[in-house]
Amino acid sequence: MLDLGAALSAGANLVAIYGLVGLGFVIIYRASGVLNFAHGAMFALGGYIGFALCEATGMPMIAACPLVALIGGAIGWLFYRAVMPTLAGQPHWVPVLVTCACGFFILAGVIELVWTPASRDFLGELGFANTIIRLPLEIDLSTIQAALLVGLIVVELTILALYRYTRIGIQMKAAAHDHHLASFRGIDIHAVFALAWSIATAIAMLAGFAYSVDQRLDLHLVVIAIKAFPAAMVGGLEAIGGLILGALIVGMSEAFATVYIDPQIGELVPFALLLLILFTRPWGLFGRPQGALRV
Amino acid sequence: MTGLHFGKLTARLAMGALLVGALLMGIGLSATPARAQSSDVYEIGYTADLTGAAASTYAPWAEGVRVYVEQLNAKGGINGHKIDLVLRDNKSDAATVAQDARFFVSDPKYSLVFFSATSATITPYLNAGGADLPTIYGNVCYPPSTPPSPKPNFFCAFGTREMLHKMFVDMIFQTAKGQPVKLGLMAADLPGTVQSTKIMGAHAEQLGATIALYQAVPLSTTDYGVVARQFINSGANVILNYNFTSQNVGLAQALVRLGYTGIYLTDASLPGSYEALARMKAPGIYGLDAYAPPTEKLDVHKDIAAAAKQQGSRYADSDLRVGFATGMAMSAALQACGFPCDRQKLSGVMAHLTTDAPAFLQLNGGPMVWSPDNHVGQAKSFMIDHYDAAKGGFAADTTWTRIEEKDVLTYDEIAVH
Amino acid sequence: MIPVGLDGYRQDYRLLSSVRQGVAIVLIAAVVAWLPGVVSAQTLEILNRAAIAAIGAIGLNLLTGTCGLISIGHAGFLALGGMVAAILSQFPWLPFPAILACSAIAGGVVGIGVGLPALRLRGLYLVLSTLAFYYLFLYGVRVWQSHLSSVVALTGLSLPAPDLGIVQITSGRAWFYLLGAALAGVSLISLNLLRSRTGRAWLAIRDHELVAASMGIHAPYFKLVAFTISSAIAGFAGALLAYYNGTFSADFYTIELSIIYFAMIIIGGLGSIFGAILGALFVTAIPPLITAAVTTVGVPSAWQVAYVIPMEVVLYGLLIVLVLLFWPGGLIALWRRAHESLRTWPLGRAL
Repeated sequence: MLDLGAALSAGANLVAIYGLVGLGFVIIYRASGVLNFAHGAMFALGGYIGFALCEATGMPMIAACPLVALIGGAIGWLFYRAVMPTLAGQPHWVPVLVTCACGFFILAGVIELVWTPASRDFLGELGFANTIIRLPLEIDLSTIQAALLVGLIVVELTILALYRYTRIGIQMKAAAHDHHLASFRGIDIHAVFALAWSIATAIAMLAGFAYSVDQRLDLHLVVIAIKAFPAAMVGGLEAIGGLILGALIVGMSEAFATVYIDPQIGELVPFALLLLILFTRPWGLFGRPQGALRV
Repeated sequence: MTGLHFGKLTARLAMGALLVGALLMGIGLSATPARAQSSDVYEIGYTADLTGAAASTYAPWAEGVRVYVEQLNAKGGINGHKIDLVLRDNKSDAATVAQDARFFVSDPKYSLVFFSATSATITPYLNAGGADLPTIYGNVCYPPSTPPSPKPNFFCAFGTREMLHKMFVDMIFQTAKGQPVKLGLMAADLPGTVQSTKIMGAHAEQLGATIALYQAVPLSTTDYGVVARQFINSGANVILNYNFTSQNVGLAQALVRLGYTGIYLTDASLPGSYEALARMKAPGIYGLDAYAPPTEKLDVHKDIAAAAKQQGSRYADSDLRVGFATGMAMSAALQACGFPCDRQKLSGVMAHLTTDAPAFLQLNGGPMVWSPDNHVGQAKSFMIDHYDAAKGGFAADTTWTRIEEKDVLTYDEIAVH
Repeated sequence: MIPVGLDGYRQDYRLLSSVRQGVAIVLIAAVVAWLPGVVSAQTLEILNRAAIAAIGAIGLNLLTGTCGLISIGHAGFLALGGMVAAILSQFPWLPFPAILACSAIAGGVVGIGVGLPALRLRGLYLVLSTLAFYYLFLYGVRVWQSHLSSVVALTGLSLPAPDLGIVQITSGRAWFYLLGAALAGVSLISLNLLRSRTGRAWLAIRDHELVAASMGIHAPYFKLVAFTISSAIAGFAGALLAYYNGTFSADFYTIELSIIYFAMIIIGGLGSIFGAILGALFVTAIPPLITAAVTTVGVPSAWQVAYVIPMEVVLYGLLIVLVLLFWPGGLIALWRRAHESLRTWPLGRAL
């Protein structure tokens, strides 16, 4: 029973993180057809920028959140405008390498430049409190972890509503589906795609900020976000609705493996699941087969 | 189409100019013959992992040495001559380490080199010529610096793993204060740390502890909370975690948050650890400290604080202690060598060096004695740090504990399952 | 380069397109052989490293550049080759060439294992599957390494200097000739592969798989061949790398290493053997050049640690991105344009 509680708590935390980061992957993929390998670095950057804000101004975490999201949106928008239009028409591996280089070299280097490679510690250095909420079934969630879970559901529903009910959302869907036709209809493709990138980056940075306050802040965050790829793939890169299921499957499997077997195996579970889904149903649980062939 | 365009021709011209410039630079630099020592400064090299996997440990280490050297220069240097410290980043990468080794070895003006990186880079460093240059290894002392037959030019100032392990195992029983020990062990899932942790566990078992839970945890694990939960659920009353700073601190935070009431043993001397552990103010946390903690308020601590302020450092003062200690060993060597000091002379000096300046004794707890068959010092003293508001924070529990090289058990003598 | 006056299939697949090209190659080889005598030890180190990287890059190029299968798991195959070499080198009765061959074979076998399930996948899905294989494989290597003796677990498995019977490879110079020979051999094999039916099938698969299949090319078979040969070459390069470092440890094979190899073939120019060599030289030489430039300029040491050194990583990444954005053809495209403009000088408009 103790173990079950531990596994469910860990799983809840992982589901929230993988869901939020995976959401960013899916939004960007639907918009530009690019797997953004720099997303992990954005996740880490959110933590560092939040840290810098709180350290400089002494504001509490709640106040810093909207600012971090805004900055994330701006960075996503800038990144898209600066890099992606030039890559139009190039083979699909070019954005892979560009985002890899940006994430693993440029952003990681900038983070080390500004903040030194040392680990940072929100709770200790800035005095943030983070109490434990005890739920039935012996599940322990910290306040931030619970907030992340709620945030995941809220953000997911908001994005779904955005795509279905708002004009800009429909434009985004149209542009993602067929950007030639969409531009013939007068939709500004680059504005729409830039918006998608900025939303995705804002979510990732906010999630990174929350995670680093809850756990720790160092460059390992980049790798943690890469583990969200499997969650996005299992759900289906084309389907935002499937993401929660994907995150649930990957997050819970990893947590249960960590608790019932050992942490090293737990670390491998996301990648094993990724291989499984790629070899059996590459378009994910909620995607369509055409999606897998599009590349 | 929108987007930042620089114009294809301009871009191509720029790239072409860059390429040509790089080529010229390469040719020019490779053709430049090595300059002989014509200046009146000591030329010391430093190759450290400043941006690689373990930069969180070695970058502050290098910073400590740098601040120490700059402060020394501000006061006139050694034997009246300043020190020119040349820093290079080796990223813990075998190729870069080899390049740095060649860089320093092939230029005869460098008489001494500091080398800070993960243990796997030692062999590439030596193979690339590092064995020809007196080297101080800035890390826990691994072979080939360890007795009984260390490599001639390879020295180390921190203390061997065996000494650290013995101290940790002693601490397990000291802090348990006679209670039966149910030991929890955490290791980073790297080969070296897994081995170390298993060996300490086996040693503790031989002395009567039972192992409640052993976990190998990946460095990029998402949640230390679940690891902490597992340890609490296993009933461990002493948890030993000797790994990298982010793991030492991460698990401690998770345990405190979940209300763990037992004892937590970790390292407090690696950069980053002391400050984080001190902030937690938790009564169950004990830190093994290879150097005197800042709460002792000794003269050397004031020196470190002053130097950090004057020379500008982005790290906490407690992070610089280990670099300072290493730098003091260098000072003693250069002092004894005189000026000019070439490699042969320095090598001979270091093989018989005793570092016992007052500041070093304060910081290190005792002198460091190198001899031809012992390049790590015959003993190392440790303090146990523990939170005590009356003593001013994360302070020394008792006085120095001295571990002698001859008292430690080798790994063959500890049966490992 | 389109040859003028094509007179038949035979000329199309000849290795050297003219006697002049052959003479040029011999001259270049002579210059290269003369190099160790004149360059500094550091430059020799860079050239040796570039040669090993070039071998690995050629392997990756066959898979990614010629056959169009993107893989970012290359560091895993290098690790495999290094591991096999490290284990086998503990047996002094095994000759060095045999160890290299075993590493290549091991690479090939695992390549089949990786390639078989991945035959259905294309593009970005293939990238992700290679990423997953990389993580899974390195986990296995780390677990294996932690079960070795304690010294080895820490400092890695040591490899002795290669012993070719008549000569031992210990100096940088000896390594230069050994690696040069290895690189020449691998280049020749790859060039022959590209000229053969296999190479043409790869090109067809890369450019339009559906059309290739309708022309009778059995795509899964050739894709598997691509995986096998590419990983065999990578295993070979990994073994050489382990011997050159003198040690094998799982820490060295990071995901950044995979990205760097990918960058090499793209900066050099996809699909070209010479491009892979150029790219490997460029990418290997850039970090020491940046460091040398910084050291020459001379910066206050506080700045160096805090700002300049982390900047080098950023510059490195920026360089890769800039080349990709503005020069996707790579260095080989530059080379060809230079060649064309020289050939058609003074009236050509190639540049």
